[in-house]
Amino acid sequence: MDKTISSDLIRGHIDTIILRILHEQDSYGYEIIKTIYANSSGKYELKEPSLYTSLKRLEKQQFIKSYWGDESQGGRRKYYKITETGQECYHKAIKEWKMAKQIISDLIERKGVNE
Amino acid sequence: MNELNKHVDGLFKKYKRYPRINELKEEILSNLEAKKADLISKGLSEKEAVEQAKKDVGTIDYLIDDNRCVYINRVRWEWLQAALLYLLTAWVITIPLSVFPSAYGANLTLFVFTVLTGILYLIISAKKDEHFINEKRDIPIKPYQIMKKIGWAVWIIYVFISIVKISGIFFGSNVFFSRPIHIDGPYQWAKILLEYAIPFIWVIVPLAINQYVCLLLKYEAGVNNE
Repeated sequence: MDKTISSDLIRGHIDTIILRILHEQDSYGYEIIKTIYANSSGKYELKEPSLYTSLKRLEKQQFIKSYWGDESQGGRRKYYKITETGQECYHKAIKEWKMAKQIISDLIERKGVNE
Repeated sequence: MNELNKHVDGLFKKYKRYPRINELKEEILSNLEAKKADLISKGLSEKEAVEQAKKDVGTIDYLIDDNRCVYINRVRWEWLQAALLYLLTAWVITIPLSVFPSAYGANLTLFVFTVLTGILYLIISAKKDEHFINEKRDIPIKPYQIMKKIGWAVWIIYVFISIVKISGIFFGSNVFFSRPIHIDGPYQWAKILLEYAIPFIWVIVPLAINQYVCLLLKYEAGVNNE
């Protein structure tokens, strides 16, 4: 069994995962990737294309906003901040996930057989 | 300019005209710099870190709004099929007409293109492996849409000019050479009508371009982020 999560399984949740990070604090691209890696104990590494696609989508939906940091060296960083609608969306996504997790689990696992 | 800078510059080369491109460029570059610094702190050499960073951001085509990610080979296959059909139809129509000298050139040209398209179609049809069929590519849709418009415009102008030219030759004969043209019998009539009809055959060119744009939309693969 692979020790990393399959990208097929996680794909639909990347937006929510990023919202969760920005819910805690503002962050920039590479830091988001690092945080996700750390939060998953190294079991999931978000790739740059997925990151940028997701950030772009979230910004378009106005769930997040961006602003430039004031780093003096190494180029300016673009930080992202969750908006109020983003917060609402995040809380909604948590509820949906809890429900989905239960249903999918009921559908996939056979009680007492696979354990 | 350091190597990452050059790499990112290269990624954006095609998109100099796009709005807000500098922001995106700066964002990606600063993230790559952060990644490089991070990888170096983990023990990689500078060279390895730069290589890794470059590899992880190998394209940004998917971030350009006008780009669509399409299953390129499915588009090609179906387009060749359609083009072949257009060409065959046009060719078959011009076969009986090719006894007239004015249709002979068109018939020959159509034949050559039919054969070439047929060969390409067979080559693509023969490739059945999944990787080939599922190959995705980010395609800028706008240039094709412009090409479609130009295609129709050029065809319409061509038809118009041809009609004026033919009319000029047939009916201006009286003015230029002071002798009217003689239409005696059905052969002459057919010849004149044919002269008018030939330019219309080339409607297959704008039709084929049109078809390509339609297929690009049909085989859109969604976001290409794998």
